[in-house]
Amino acid sequence: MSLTGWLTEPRTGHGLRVATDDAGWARHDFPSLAAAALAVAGLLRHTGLRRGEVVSLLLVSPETFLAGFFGVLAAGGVVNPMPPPAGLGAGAAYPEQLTHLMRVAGTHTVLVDPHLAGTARSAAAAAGLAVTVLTVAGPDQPGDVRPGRPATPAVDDPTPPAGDEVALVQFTSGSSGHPRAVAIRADNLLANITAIRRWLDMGAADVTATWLPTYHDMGLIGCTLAPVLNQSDILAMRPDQFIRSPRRWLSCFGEWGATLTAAPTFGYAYAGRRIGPAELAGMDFSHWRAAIVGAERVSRRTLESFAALLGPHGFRTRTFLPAYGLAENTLVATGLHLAPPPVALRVAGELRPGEPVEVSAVEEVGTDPSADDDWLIGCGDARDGVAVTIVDDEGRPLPPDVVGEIALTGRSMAAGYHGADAPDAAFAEGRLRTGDHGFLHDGQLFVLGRAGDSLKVRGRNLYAEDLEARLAGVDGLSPERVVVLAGSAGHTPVLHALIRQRPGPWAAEVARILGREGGPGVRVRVLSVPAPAVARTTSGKPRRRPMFRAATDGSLPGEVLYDSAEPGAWPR
Amino acid sequence: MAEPVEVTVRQLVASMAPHPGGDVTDGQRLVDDLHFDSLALIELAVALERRFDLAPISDDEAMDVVTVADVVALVSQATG
Repeated sequence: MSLTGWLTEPRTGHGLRVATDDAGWARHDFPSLAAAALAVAGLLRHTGLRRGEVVSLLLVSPETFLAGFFGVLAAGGVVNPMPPPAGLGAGAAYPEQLTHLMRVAGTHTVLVDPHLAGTARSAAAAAGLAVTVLTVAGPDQPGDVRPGRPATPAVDDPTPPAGDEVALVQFTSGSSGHPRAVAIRADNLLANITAIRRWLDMGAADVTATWLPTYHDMGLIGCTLAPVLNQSDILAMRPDQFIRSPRRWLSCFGEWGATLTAAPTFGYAYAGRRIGPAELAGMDFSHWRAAIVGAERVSRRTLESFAALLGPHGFRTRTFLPAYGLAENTLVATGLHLAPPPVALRVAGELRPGEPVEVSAVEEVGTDPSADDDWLIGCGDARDGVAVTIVDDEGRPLPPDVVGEIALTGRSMAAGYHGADAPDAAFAEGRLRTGDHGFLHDGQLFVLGRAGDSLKVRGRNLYAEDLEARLAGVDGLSPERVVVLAGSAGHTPVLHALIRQRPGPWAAEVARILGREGGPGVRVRVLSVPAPAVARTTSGKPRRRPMFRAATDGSLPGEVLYDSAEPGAWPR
Repeated sequence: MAEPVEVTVRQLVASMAPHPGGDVTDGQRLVDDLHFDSLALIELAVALERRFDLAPISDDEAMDVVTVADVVALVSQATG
């Protein structure tokens, strides 16, 4: 299988249907999508794009995005999806964000919607990059590429990245200022797409429905690339269309026969909250085979409420496939098999790294909307070509039912972070250290959260290093005396700031900044600590994980200057 | 509608802000201070359109909205 094989043998009568704003669907069959992609490839070759150069995409509509994505690959380029501006509130910061993204990606060319061309040009200029900006237009607009009417000869001999060549530079959902980009090789991408197709037992009659943005790994690889390489139908909505009408997403399954989807817990929670039983009249969900739940902590109550709402219309709880994955492993790592319902597990006592888990109850997920949320949901076992181990701080494997860091090996493990000066420790020795804590129980992976150097809040990663950089400007504080620890203690996300300085007025400002960066539900602690409290590696880097544990269980020496969980904490 | 636009807008923003509690003030930024993420911002836009019977808010209009005061201005303009 090659990444662009379908371009020269597109399946007729099937393809992409894109939700229009008048409640209809616009059809783009695989032959027309392939022609548009080959036209883009022709233009890129005409501009002199060389093999391995990075082409960034700023394309909102799924059909132009697909033409751009496969056009870049067919021309031998490395494709890099970028987020378009995200509506209200994001505008002013967007040009600066785009400049930063282009620098990180090392953008050579941008394929852009006409209305974003000016923004892309200014961002490239600000980044100091000589970027070629090419517009890709819809059928009724002018642009450098027009689907079906190429200005340059279309490519008829696609030469996509292959083997260990990098094919995709994928941004992780980082904190606003400092996203990371993962270099995903052609063989990684093919291995992960194959794993997804086998996992879901994807066939020619399947229909995938999605509202996830295509620049996001789950929306891109799980909901778009897997069905395109499978040449099966896709129903695509934009996120704002889903937010406006979650019923429309459900109608993909209940009325249009969609069988597969993936979404974060939020998507199922939002649809369950916004839709009443009466709106489901006439819908039939008995053909819905797989609803992948991933990207954030899986909530038992959300799954049961959703299943209770849709159950009378043929939805089965076993349709839910809780999963675990990350861009550093291309996308999917583990996921529940198709047949059984998800498993919920309750543990007694504290969950500590290196210590055994005491399981007090195991239940199948059912249809009780009042289900309590103090359960962990099993994310299945390793998918094809992936191996999962739980390891201790030194990387030694731990047995089942013991908490440790989730480590992955296999064909889906990416090459590393794109453009990094030195290989990142996360990818050392042929093994991906995910930075997530978890344990294996009865063959399934249970994910607990971040292990000390970052944490995830509503799909957004906060990295300890970035937060340290944010604190660098605080008056009276020496940046080299600041260490931030980020992780989850039990279910609560926590940020600890360890400051090797005597208490001073800076503490309130540190608490305020971390409170703002963390947001609601994140506990913030500021400590003045003696020098020996800060553990470092031989190369001088902070050893955040052991310090995080010590700070969490109270064994770290020092004076607590602020704790948002304590009564009388200063207002944020 | 009985209440001035700005009062209703502030209430709506407060009820939808991921950052709980406290009064919403005009100077607060939706993303940096109130922690709206991209999906929450879309939810807010849809809620504003419904509440004030507005046409869908375009990307160009949305680009300039950073603070609560900007939201008030956007809605005031659109409702004329």
